[in-house]
Amino acid sequence: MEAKGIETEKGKLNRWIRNVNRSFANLKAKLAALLEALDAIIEEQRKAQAKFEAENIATLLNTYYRRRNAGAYSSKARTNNLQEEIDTFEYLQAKGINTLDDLKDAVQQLCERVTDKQTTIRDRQTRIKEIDDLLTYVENYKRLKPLYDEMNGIRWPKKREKFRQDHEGELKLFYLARRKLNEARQETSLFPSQH
Amino acid sequence: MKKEREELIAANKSDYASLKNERTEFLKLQKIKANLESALRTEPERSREPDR
Repeated sequence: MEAKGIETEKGKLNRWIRNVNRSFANLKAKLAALLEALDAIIEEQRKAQAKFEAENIATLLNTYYRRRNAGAYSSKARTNNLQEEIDTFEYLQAKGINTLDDLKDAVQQLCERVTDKQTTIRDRQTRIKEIDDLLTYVENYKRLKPLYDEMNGIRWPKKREKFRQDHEGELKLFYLARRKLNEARQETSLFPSQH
Repeated sequence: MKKEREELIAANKSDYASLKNERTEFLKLQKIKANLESALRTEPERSREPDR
């Protein structure tokens, strides 16, 4: 019927479907183009932001030194200001600090380095204290062992008891040293066993 | 143990010494921070001799 120029319902429906399909394809293509354009704008904005940030620290510092120079009393002061400005920019360049974020990162990294170092030093100090204590125990053990042996060599209990009372303080040091050294032997990390 | 103790002390001394570098860097960064803050303020400041 359509071929004879007479519109049919089926023909109308098919045309409508084709139109809808075209519209969808068209819209999708336009949306894709829009997305692409937005990506380009975002990228552009990101670059502009990066450039702004990169320039910002330099601009700010430049503002500072310009103001400082404006109130400089003498040419010597201006020369010193210029030298300081150059030093500052050289330092920032050497450290790769171009933006305020870079500056913040540099401070954070420095903080981490200092904290790490502090922890390491503290751990070593703890270990040094452990070693010092052990060395004191070793020394006390060696020094007081003959006294301990002498006490054990006394056969008469009363005499031995009197000896023990007379040397109570030293013997306490000896027992403490012996106990601590025995404990340390259990922990190889603290006191390597002697063979 | 004595040798370990000496090594630990030497390592700590070395780290203490390098901490001076960190401190120098901190002072530089602190000064830059102060200068940036100053730049953000509106009033111009007068020149002064460099810090000793």
